[in-house]
Amino acid sequence: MINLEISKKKIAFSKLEEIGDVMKEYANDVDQKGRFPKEAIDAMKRNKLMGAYIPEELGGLGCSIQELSEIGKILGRYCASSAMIWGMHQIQLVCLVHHGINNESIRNYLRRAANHQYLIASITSEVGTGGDIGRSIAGVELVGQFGHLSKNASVLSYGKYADAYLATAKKSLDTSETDQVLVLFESSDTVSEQTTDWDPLGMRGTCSPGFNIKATFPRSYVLDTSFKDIATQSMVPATHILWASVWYGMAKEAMSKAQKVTKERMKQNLKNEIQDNVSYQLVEIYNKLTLMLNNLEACTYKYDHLVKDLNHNSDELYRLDFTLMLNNLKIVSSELAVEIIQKSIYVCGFVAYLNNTPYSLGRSLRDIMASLVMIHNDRLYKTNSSLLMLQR
Amino acid sequence: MEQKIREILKKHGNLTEDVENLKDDNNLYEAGLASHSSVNVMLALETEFNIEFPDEVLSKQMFASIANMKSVIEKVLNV
Repeated sequence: MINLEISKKKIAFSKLEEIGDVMKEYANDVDQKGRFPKEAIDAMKRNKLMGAYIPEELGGLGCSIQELSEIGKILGRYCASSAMIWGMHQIQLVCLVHHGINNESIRNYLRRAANHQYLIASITSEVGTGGDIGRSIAGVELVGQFGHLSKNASVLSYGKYADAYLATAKKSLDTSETDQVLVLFESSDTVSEQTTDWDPLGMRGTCSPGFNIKATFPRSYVLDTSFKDIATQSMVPATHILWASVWYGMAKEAMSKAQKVTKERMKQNLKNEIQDNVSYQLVEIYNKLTLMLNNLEACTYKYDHLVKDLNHNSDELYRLDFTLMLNNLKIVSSELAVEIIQKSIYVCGFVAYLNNTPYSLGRSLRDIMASLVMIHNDRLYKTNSSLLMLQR
Repeated sequence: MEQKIREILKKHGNLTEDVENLKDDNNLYEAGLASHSSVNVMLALETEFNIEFPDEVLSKQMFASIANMKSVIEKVLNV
């Protein structure tokens, strides 16, 4: 008998372009108004894309890390803000799936999240920690079967629009700043007060101002694994891979515009009998894009394999060269993406500089600048410089 | 269409042989078509027939003969 069942994952993959069209349609409006990309996120939800990393048995698409990266690369071409929101949400799922799958109440939450296509935001930043996610000031207070957390987040992407949050916090009020846990709570159990305005250069649709958060949650929503381990095994690798995937999509789109413009120019040249079909700049762009892709694929392939063995052997995830490799992925991807988009503007010329042509790249240039400062590259340069001294 | 392709080859192909002496299925690379020239041929064909070749049809094989170009263009025009 022929198997007529097409997996949900296949269907979702086949809808990516359709979702991309919605993202593209609203991208400029989202950017101009600095508003949440509701239409794009709704399109993702309609096509079950929010549950990408949730295992199939819990109602998700059951994507692998490699598949997440593929989706990120495609979405990044259309609207950087909504692609990044999708990516950040998947990072939260990676943490929950890897470290909460054996916890009955997290399992139930994931089942609901897949069913309702919930959006989860990350609260790792905190006023007073200087951008170091490895320290927390706020702590979890456990009272009976419930926990409470009061945290002053300096940046909370799409915080106002999330259905739930995954926050870092001290394990208890009286423990050290580095003794951290990761805790899940739902927006219905959270009171939040916005503390800063949101008017950034780019990635304007991510809507990431500061918030004061007060939340109550069931005790079982505190993940058992320490945050240090979650960060090493899941949050850091997933973050670098998914961010780099979205940036790759953005860079690829810029190159594709440069290609189209160059081609049109060559056709004009031919008409005018000018025999000139060489574009060195375009080749340089392609070189950089290839470097980006190879680097990304190497890291993704490696992490994808390590994850499949996570429960039996996680040693390799703790190796210095893996950390070095991931930090490098972030540094190289962000720097190359900025260069590619800049060079694409140079190649396209005025049509890319203008904001109202099919080849406009102003928004992409503003958006991609975020890649250098979201986890500042200097921080990673510093870490990698030390790691290189340790490596033989 | 065949005549148009021949005109374009004559203008942009930089062939070492006279286009008029080539048969439809003669190998154009053997007749001196260089990859640099094949790009100009491709751009001129797109302009002439007002089409855009999708990535999947662009191959070395496509430019190997007049017959091959003709069949690819017909395919693109029909879609």
